[in-house]
Amino acid sequence: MSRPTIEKALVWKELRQIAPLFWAVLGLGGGLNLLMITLFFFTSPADSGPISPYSFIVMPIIFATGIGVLLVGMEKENRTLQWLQGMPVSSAQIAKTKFMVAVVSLIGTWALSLLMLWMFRIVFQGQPGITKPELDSLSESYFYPILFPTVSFFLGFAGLALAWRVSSPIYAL
Amino acid sequence: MNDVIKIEGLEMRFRGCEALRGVDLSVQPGTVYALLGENGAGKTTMIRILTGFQKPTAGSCRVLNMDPSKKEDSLKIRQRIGYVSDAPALYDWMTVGEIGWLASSFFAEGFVDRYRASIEKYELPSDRKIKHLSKGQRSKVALSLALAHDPELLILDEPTSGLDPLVRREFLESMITVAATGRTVFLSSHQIAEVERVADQIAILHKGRLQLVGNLSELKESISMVTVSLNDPLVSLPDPSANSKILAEISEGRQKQFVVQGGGDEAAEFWKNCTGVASVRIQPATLEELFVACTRGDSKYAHRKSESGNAGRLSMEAQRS
Repeated sequence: MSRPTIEKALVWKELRQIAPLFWAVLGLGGGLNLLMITLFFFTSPADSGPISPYSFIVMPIIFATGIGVLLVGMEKENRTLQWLQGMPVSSAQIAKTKFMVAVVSLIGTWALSLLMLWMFRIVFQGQPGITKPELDSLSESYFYPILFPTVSFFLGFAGLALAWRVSSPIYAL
Repeated sequence: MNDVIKIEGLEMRFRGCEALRGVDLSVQPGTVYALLGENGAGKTTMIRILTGFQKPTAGSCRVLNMDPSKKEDSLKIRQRIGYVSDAPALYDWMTVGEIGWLASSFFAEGFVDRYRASIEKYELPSDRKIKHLSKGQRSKVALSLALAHDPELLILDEPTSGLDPLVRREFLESMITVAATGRTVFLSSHQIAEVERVADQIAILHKGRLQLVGNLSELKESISMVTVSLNDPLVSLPDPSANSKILAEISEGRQKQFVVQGGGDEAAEFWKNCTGVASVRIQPATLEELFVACTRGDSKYAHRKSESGNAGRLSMEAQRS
């Protein structure tokens, strides 16, 4: 147990705090896609309907919605933020670390989501029951790489700011 | 000698509430200083100001010769003090060892070793999650964290509230050990018995004003309880000589009890010779009686004190429970 730097210790703490949300989102997104793949292979393409690549967008959007509550709201409600502020570390450094972790983890979730979408495309391209335009409509449209990430970052930052200002994490959410 | 804590004319006003009203206080190094007061007396507000969480409305406050209301001083103060709140909020999902590792990043080398030694002393398993610890064990973790950087001053806000008698005893013994190593302990409490065991100096805070400040043993020696039995409950007793300061008067049927500071024997002798007095008994006042005298009823005493600088009389006509 050697002494870490303040930055390392704070980043470790924040990552551990958002880990349950990350795994939940990954489980939800992965589960949803697994369900679709199962339906696609075990039912006739006509019954399964169009496979929705929107499930890949759900992951980072849900992650962005919950990150403020986990990083700030829960800490405020459990008064652990008060304990942390009683340590010789500035509130600015605490806030900066939370912001950085939120940004990096959201980028990471988007990267994972896009990776899954790419794999999805490779597996399903040319399969009966799913058409190329259906996939392209999301992945290749100018709308997708700009609008949804922007929305998710807005949700993430607004969530962080609200959780900092509003005493109840539920209201912040 | 440099004061570890120096407070002058400290005032704190919230909307519709005056939490502190001109508090003056100084704490010498190496003492266990107890701040006594009932709930809502202003103890936690004072501690929040000392630790830099709150800026006072008026007055000055120095902790280790630094001003906690200044941002740059506040961080330096936190480097040199240990603080345990009444209900320490620790990260439930961390283990005992992990929270020590996290806290060690804020302090100099040696923190981890001292923390490890402390949790071993309290028989706390380092791999146990905080959420699986009892309230007493959590308090021990909080105390270990507060002491591991070897602070010059330990500030404790109601440190034993909610703990069972056994844990409370262990906790207080730790306080005595801390003070024995030359460090200063500033604790707030309304648990009179525990304060009596550990404190060198006490201050009694009531409605934001300090009612009594001094060395505990000297106060106990100088303050006595004089019980006067009267032939008739309507008989009024004159005030004794100027040497005797009456802190409180408690009427109970034909019996009157006075908490007298200085000249208790003199006052007893004076009342013994008064008309209508059947008997007079004098005994040393306990800290609890002192506390009750200073915190019950209308704070006439405090007003007189602030006007004249001397102790006045706190009239308590209510029946003693």
